Amino acid sequence: MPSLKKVKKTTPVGRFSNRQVRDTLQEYITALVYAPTGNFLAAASAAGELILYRKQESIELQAATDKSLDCLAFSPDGQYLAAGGQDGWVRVWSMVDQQLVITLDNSPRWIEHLDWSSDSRKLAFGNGRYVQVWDVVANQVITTLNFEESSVLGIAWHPVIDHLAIAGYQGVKIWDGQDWDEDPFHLNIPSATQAVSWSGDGKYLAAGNLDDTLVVLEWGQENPWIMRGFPGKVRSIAWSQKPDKQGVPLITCASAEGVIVWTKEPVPGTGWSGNVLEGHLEKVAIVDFQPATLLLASGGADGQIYLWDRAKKLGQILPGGKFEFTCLTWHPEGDYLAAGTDQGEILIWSKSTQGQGFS
Amino acid sequence: MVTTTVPVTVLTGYLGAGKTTLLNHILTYEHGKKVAVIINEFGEIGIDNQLVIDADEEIFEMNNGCICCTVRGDLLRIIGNLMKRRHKFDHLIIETTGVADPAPVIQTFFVDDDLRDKVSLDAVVTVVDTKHISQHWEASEAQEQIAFADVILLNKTDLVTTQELEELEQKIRGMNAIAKIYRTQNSELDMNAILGVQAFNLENALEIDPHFLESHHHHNHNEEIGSIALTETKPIDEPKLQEWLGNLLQAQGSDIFRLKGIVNVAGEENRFVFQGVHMMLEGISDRPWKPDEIRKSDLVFIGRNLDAEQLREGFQQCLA
Repeated sequence: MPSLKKVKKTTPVGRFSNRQVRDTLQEYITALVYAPTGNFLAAASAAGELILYRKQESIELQAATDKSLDCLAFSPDGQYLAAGGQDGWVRVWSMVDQQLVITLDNSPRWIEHLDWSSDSRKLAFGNGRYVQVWDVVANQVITTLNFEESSVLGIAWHPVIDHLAIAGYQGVKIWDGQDWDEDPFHLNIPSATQAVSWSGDGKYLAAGNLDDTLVVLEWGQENPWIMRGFPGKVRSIAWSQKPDKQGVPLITCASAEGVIVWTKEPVPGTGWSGNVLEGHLEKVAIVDFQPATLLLASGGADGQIYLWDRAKKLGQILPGGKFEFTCLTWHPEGDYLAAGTDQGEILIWSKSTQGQGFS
Repeated sequence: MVTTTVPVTVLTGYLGAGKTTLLNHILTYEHGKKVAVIINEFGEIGIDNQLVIDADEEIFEMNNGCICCTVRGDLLRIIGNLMKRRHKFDHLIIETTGVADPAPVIQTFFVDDDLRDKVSLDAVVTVVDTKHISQHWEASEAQEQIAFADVILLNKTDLVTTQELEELEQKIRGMNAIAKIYRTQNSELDMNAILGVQAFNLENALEIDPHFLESHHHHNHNEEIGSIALTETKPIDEPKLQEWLGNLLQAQGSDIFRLKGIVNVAGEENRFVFQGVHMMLEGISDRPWKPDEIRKSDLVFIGRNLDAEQLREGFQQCLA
């Protein structure tokens, strides 16, 4: 355990001591996400439930349907919540009044991935080998992109400019929203990419792959970095919002029971150095940085959330229970951490005994 | 050990061989159980009251260090999603198309960490249309479906003569020495013959048809696809065995479809058991040899253009 001094440095307000079981849904929590505005927490389950939490209130946007909901995303401005799942429908709710504003039927295809553009106007969702880009204001399709090599395994919209990254077999293709008809840039990876993420500043793109590699591309450069030596497929990746001393964000990924953190080496033209954070006894499902800090949370099959100070040292273990963690999300202010389990539990930790998971 | 993994049955065979009929027999037999069925083409018979997912076959080639393999991307994706509701499913059945290569299906379950933990491949069941198989012998898929099988149904036996059936069974036995072969009409057989087989469980005994050992053992050189069985009573040196198998699969893995073995390792009280699919190999130290058991090593290779002499010599080099 780190010394008290270090603890004070990293989490000055105190540890995450208060644990609350916020709700228990019928099945596996497939997606859990705080609104960027911090006032809502949304949870989706494999039974098709979609619940919105606000302070003490729980708003059921969708009751159990017996068809899994698989993806959820708030628009960056917090105005909309989009959901998709095995019934093939994409649904968008307005967060102003929690009313359903858009419904799109793509059945019998499953909707497994969706993401919002940075201007909160466009929603991209995977539909088999295609991605459809929808204008939510005009309520009409903008374009339909063909990934070609496989079903779509991941979607990530660039956080600043109008670029859309789509992952699948043979890597990532990035389309330029200025001209959707233009051929995409292809980050060719001789495997299948199933996790794709832009750094918060949009300068880097990371791809987690089935062949136990992580590929990082500095946007605008020709050659990516390829990180090897992972103990299993790279299943979850996340960038820190807070950069290191050189101004480059850190990247973390979950692979087998390992949490690996990569830091850009200071000399220009060199690569990244990796550090394995050991502790989890079973597979790690998800990793994510606290907004604005380098405090890193990881959770998975061993039913515990680990908090890593400065993404280096184990700072705290948050015991969950006997269930596996499937997803976690940080409140945008970093004061709350919520996690979902394979048995439908939704837990929220907070720094103090006040509050119910919302600022 | 009691496991909570969901068993997976893979059904292969040409269109019209009787796969869908067999699938319906299984579903009728397992009424009350939740069965998820993944198919790549809608068959002629409707399937009621079960989750049926029609998936497009997506082959992913994977090159992980020195191991090359192909997996089914669609299965990774679909089963990964289904298993989030694993208490909702008691059994998963994958019905492949008539022209599908079974290897990627099998390798999918070996490669992926999530699937390895949550599902277990029970058996590859191949349905053969005894009347029409002769028209398909040229197709490598038809041969590979037989070579990869744990259970083979020689179906529609009412449409061929006893003589034809005998010859066909001999031919198939020569290709695959370890599969259980059943003669059926209308894909009817005791469901215990195809469900709960645990053919990929390393702890299960390797059963080589004694008939194969007697009659086919030396006759396979001319067959493109065949089985080779090796037996040795002298103890084996494990490092030598590992090295030999490693080199062999590196060089000839694409031609070795399946490989199974029980080995009497020098100085070990436990049996060493292993299995392989193409370049992938897994082995464990199994239960102790029983006092009344003859300690010997049995290896079976199923593959294309296998050289029995080369394999035998290689294995002899592994003696302790």
